[in-house]
Amino acid sequence: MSFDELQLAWQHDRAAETQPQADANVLRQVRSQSRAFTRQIFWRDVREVLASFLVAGVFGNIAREAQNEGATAWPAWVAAALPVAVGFYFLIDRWIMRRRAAPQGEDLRTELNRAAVEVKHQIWLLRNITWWYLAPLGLATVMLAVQITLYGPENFPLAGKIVIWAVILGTTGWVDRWIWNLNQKAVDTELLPRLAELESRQQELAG
Amino acid sequence: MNAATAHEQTFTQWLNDHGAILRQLSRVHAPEPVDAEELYQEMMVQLWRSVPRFAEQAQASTWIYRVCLNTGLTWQRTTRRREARVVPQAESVEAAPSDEQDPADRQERGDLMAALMQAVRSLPPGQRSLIVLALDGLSYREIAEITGMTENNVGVALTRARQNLTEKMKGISHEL
Repeated sequence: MSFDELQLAWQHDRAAETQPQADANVLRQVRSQSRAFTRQIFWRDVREVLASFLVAGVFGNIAREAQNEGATAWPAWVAAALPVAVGFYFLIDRWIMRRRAAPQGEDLRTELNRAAVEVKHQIWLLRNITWWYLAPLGLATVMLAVQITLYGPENFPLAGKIVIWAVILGTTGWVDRWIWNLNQKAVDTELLPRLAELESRQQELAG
Repeated sequence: MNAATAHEQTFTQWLNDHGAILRQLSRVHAPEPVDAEELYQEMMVQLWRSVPRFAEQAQASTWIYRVCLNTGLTWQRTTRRREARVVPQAESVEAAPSDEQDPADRQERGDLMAALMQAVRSLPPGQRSLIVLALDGLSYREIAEITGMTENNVGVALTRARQNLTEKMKGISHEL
């Protein structure tokens, strides 16, 4: 069968396709779905930075209390500042990526390139999560341990200080390792296959 | 006329004039009817969101093809797992009611369309987009505008895609 005949059948099918009508119901539905999409993106960002700001709030409170009691508080302030820095880094990165995102309606190759750049950036973020997320938050917990053990009550027993250090460092190390593994797994099982898929589509459209 | 009304009017006109493109493209990218409906909704939302960015120098149909094909290419990724579970059934396409009243003709046309749809779906996604545009009767220049390829590259890639489609059609016709 020739391509012309296939084309004819295809166009015949198109002509017979039920023509959708944009009535008030359709408009209401589309508007509501569009708003839901915007809300979903907003709350995803909020969720992701909320943890950092919550931790900062807790550490900041400890710093404030120490300061009110006249004790040295700088380690706790550092501990509070680091999660804030992580949160802001995350927000700025999101903002930059959103600005770079091509608007809908770009040609297919441009859109595929943009999607590939976005996936490569996500891979970079997750591969380097140690430096921009785990290390600052890890350092923050170490600072908290410093605050508690060096500037805590003078009669605090040494054994207690050792236990606090062990618990904080052990928990932090374990949680960091778990988060690191989770993110590397996401790169290997989701992002790298997605990148390969996009690159193969780019090649198909390269001519 | 305020911006919201203009937005609505543009979208309404697009959907009324070119809505069938969305329906057919969603069926190309999603074999299961429930998925096709979901993709169709997604295409409508993306089209709605794209209205403020539409520049009048582009043709509305070119813009709509771009938005919908891009949505189709992205959407597949999220449904891959489900597709792996659900084996697409050989589609039974009801031939469109038309002037030809002969049931045999209608059946034949329906079988042909089912085979063609299956063959198009089995192409690699990039080729699939090209072949859909060619089947819709778009010129090389229009396809180049939608895909971002040069006209020469469109010619080369389409030759390959057509050969591929013909091969697939042969295989599927034997199965049916």
